[in-house]
Amino acid sequence: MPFVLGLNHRTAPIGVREKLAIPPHQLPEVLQKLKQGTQTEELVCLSTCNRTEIYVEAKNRAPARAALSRLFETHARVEGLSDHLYYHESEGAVQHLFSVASGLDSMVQGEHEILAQVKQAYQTAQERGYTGKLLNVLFQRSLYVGKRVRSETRLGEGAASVGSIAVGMAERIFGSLKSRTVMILGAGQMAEVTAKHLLAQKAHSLLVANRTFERACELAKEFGGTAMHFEEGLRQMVSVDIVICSTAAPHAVITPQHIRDIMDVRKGRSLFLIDIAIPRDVDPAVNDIENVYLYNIDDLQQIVNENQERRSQEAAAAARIVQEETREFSRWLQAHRAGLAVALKHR
Amino acid sequence: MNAKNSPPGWLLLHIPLLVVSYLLLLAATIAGLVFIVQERRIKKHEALAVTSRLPSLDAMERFIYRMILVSFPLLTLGILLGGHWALLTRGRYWGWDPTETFSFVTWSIYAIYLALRWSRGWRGRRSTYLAMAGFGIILVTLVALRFFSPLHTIGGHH
Repeated sequence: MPFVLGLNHRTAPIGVREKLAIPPHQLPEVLQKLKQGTQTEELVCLSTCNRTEIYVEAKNRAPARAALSRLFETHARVEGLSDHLYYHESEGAVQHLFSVASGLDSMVQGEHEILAQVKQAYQTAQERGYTGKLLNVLFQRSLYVGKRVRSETRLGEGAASVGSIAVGMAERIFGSLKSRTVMILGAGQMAEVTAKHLLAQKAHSLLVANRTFERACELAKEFGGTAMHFEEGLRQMVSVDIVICSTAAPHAVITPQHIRDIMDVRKGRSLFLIDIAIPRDVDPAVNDIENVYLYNIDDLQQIVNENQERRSQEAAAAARIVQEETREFSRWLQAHRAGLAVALKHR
Repeated sequence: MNAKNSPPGWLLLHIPLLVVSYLLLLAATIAGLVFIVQERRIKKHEALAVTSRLPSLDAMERFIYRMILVSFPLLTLGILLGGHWALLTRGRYWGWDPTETFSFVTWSIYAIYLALRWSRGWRGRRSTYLAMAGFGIILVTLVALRFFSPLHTIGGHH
């Protein structure tokens, strides 16, 4: 009977997870230790930054489980480690692995990396002879389930934060951001976060304009950008592509007239304004100007919410597939135990 | 058509030149429709704008421009050859029959599109509408060609 013992981002804080994380190159060694220290027939060890789990097939589950727990504790040296561990057996273990492979159990639901990590974990164990009939079929099946969930649901599509939505929208306007220039107008905290996202997409260069010039310099230094005075920033808007507004001004500092003047000089090149200041920095009427796209914090948050809602619907659909596949696999498991050969259905 | 007024071979290019330019302009028009839809979504802050994996506005706009840029000389030459053809068959270069008139309107629309883009960098929603209007006139031209033009009777009844 298979079982799984492990911990993940839901049951253990990062301080505990990192003590049990096994880098890929140490995996063969760890597998050997596990095999020697426990009474198990087959085993696979899956370790990522969000989880460390051991999948086991053992004739006698109880002693194998106890031995594994002890190994975990000696390895991690964490008080009360067992509080963080979960244990699933038989059908529960199958369902758990299928959920993991589908990305349902991931921190960012539906992410793709986990499927490759499951495959890698399985191959490492399989190549060294730690797996047998049961875990071979189970893991190959989990890869199939992971692929099926991804092809039949849209789990994992749609970015999840205000910053990533802003970047996504910028890419829908400009395409690659590599040759684009970003300006931060008013160096608030949120501006810093959004700029980080944009620079992660390799925006070409960054200008920082602020009322207090020292703060502009600070932020410019941090990002390798150019600092300038606020008024100079307003003038420079003729040459940049994306402006993140985050001043502490009590009223709109960017008027439709200012943007119209700028657009006349820009010769039709699009301008993307992200207004994350409260109160708002940009007069909402600016969005009516052709080739100008204005998003304030609520517009971005609204999209984040819609995406989350859709994601949870997709998660429900994915969970149904996992259920169905678990039942299917349980039938195989029972037949296998009874010594019968049954084929698993593919869709 | 009798032997006397059958045109020299190079005049026959009139047809493929216009067909190719119309096809390129059709491609520009389809891209224009997608552009208009996606541009509206981005303007209206719709989640779909970011989740649908359409090309960027910038890329679509450049595609439309390039299609028009390439098709415009073909269109111009095709129309001029048509004039020559008319000269040979009807003894006049240009007579403002419906086909000729609509062709001229089409040509003017794309000429304006290019002129505004080069001089003022005019682009975006309105310029895309203009480009699509150009193709609308092409459709009208084709209808005129089929039903009203004495010279362009397809399948001929001379």
